[in-house]
Amino acid sequence: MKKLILLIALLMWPFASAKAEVNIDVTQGIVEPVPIAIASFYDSSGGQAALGKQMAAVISTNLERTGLFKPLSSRSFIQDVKSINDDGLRFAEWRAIGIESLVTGTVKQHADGRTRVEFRLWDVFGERQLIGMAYMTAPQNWRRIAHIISDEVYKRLTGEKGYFDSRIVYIAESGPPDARIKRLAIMDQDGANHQYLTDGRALVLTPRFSPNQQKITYMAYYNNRPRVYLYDISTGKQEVLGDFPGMTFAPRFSPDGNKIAMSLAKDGNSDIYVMDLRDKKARRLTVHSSIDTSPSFSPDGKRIVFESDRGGSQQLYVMNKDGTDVHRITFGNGRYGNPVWSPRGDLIAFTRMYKGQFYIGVIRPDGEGERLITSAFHVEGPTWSPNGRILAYFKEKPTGRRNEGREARLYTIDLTGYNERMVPTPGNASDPAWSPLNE
Amino acid sequence: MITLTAQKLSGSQTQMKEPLTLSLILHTAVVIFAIVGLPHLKKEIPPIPNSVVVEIFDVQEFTAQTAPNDLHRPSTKPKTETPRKTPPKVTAKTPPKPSAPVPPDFGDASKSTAEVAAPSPLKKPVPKDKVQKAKQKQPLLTQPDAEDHEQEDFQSVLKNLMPDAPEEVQTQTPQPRTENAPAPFTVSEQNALRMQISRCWNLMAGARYAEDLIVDLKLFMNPDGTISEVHILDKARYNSDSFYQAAAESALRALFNPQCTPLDLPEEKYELWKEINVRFDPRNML
Repeated sequence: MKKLILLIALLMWPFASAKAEVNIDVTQGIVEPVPIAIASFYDSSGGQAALGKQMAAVISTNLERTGLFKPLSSRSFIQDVKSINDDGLRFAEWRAIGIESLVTGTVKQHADGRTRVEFRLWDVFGERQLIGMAYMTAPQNWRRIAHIISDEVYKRLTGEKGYFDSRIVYIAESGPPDARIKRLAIMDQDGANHQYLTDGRALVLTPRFSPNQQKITYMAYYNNRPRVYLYDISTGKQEVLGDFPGMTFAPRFSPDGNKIAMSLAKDGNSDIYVMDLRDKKARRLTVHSSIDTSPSFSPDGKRIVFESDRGGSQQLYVMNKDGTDVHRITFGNGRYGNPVWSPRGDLIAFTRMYKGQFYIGVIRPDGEGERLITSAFHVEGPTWSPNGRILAYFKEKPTGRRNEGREARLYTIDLTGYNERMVPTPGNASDPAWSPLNE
Repeated sequence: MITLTAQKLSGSQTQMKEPLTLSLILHTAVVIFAIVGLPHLKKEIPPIPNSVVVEIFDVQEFTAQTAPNDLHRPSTKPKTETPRKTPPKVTAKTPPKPSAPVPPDFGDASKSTAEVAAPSPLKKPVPKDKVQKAKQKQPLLTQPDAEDHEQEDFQSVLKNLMPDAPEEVQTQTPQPRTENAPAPFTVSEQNALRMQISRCWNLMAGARYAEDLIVDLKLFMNPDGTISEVHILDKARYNSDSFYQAAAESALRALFNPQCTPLDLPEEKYELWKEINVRFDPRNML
């Protein structure tokens, strides 16, 4: 019997060995920006050539600022844009300069005055088109089209939604520290199209975008009384939210935009309330003798993270949207504050103060995986990009001989903790709030 | 007659036992051979349906998805069809007629290039010295930040400044799968191949649930070490999960990176490596 089995095994062996395969586990790679080329968008008539060049520059800057891509200068290109359009792509020439992905496009003025913009994203190694789209718009909207194209490229190459076609509202600061003027200001995420929304007569703080993008909620001091206001960007109208006996602050919209969670301080105690914007009725969520504040909804609207000192030190807590199941998620040394739930739901950003230093950190909603990703003398006010990939915040540093002055600027950082970049603003800036993607 | 036969059978039962067993075993062997051996002999490449060759790269289909107005196809992405409401007004329209619907032929780059550029001949042949010049210039274009990142020596791609925590996030090294490669393909040859691919794999860190983005590819190799075909094994996920799609394409870019073409493989052992399973596992880097 054994002989027979041996015989069969010998008979089958050649076939088994012919099926031999090599198995390789690649567990290490490199983390470098992906070399990408953005060719100027071509206009065969030549009339829109400058526009095509500007669009490529904006896309290039957008992608470069992510830290994930390394756009190569057009001076390195072997094939010129005319040749791309007339002869087609010569992939070997792009491979020769180390390009992995390539963006090409055209602009063309139509008889009705509108501009048609086309773009294509190419996989240079695979020699294939990954995506191609076209847009019709008024020529003055070229910058926004460039942001939309940047979003499409980013999404196709990273798998995540983009964030370039979005805006940031923040507090623009000017004047000496003892007479600081704070105005509400808004700009594109890259600092372009900057404008002021308030005149600076009232002190404004903690602006937050509505998910519908047309409204901003913030706290303002009118007649020395701090209250939460709602500002309509399209009409410029603002209204006070509810007429509460105490002070209201730290407002934040629910993901559907119908509610605002905020704090109400009364008789030395502050608790968290949720107001329905449709009927303006407020509901109390926390009932505790401690200070509960800075509520932020999860993206599904079912839970709220907030800060509280109910455990002795200021820590982060998560509860259901109706105030039940309150549980603590941070247990580290120092104080935790300003929690903000990521739009993609996987992380909560926060500020942590420890041994005289400020940190911005992220933690998973279950309290695991805390990481501190940036620190400074004073860094605060984290806000997520619409795709949950980037954090914006402000950093303040002392200035002057006796450190009597303060310089505050906005920064962004990748959630990996790398690629910190300053966002250009005309002057001092604090309390940023990132809008959702434009619709 | 029936009884007689029965008796006959009964009488020879002991003598017939061994040949019957032999017959049974040999028949089983033939059946197994037919199932296992014949399809293999008939087709060198097993018919795995997860091909990335045609349908994924189909330009017509792709552009139709992004611009539903084209070719009268039903809309699959309403967002691209409707004009944007907020100013400035933007309308996504039919994309241009694709000029280069090139079914990728990973093994023959020049052929694909010619198809893209067709029908007009290449007007600008690349001067070799120009290519080299461009290659030399490339490092100068590196952004300062990117240089800094390269200099940083980190175990994990996720930074942590935690003052009261270990500096580095300790992650458990995943156990390599049991390698069933035959002995002649040595461990050092496997390591060399792994190292070569590692140098070409540019990992995009920070994706959501990145630890789940393990990509398994099956490579069908040419004798010269170039890849003739790649199959993404989890094609269903590739088509439904944009993060996985990006991770898989990052893996594909690694394999078609000029630094990894051809792969360093001993020519005389082609029979052993004409099919290679590669797993790209980022867990160790998170």
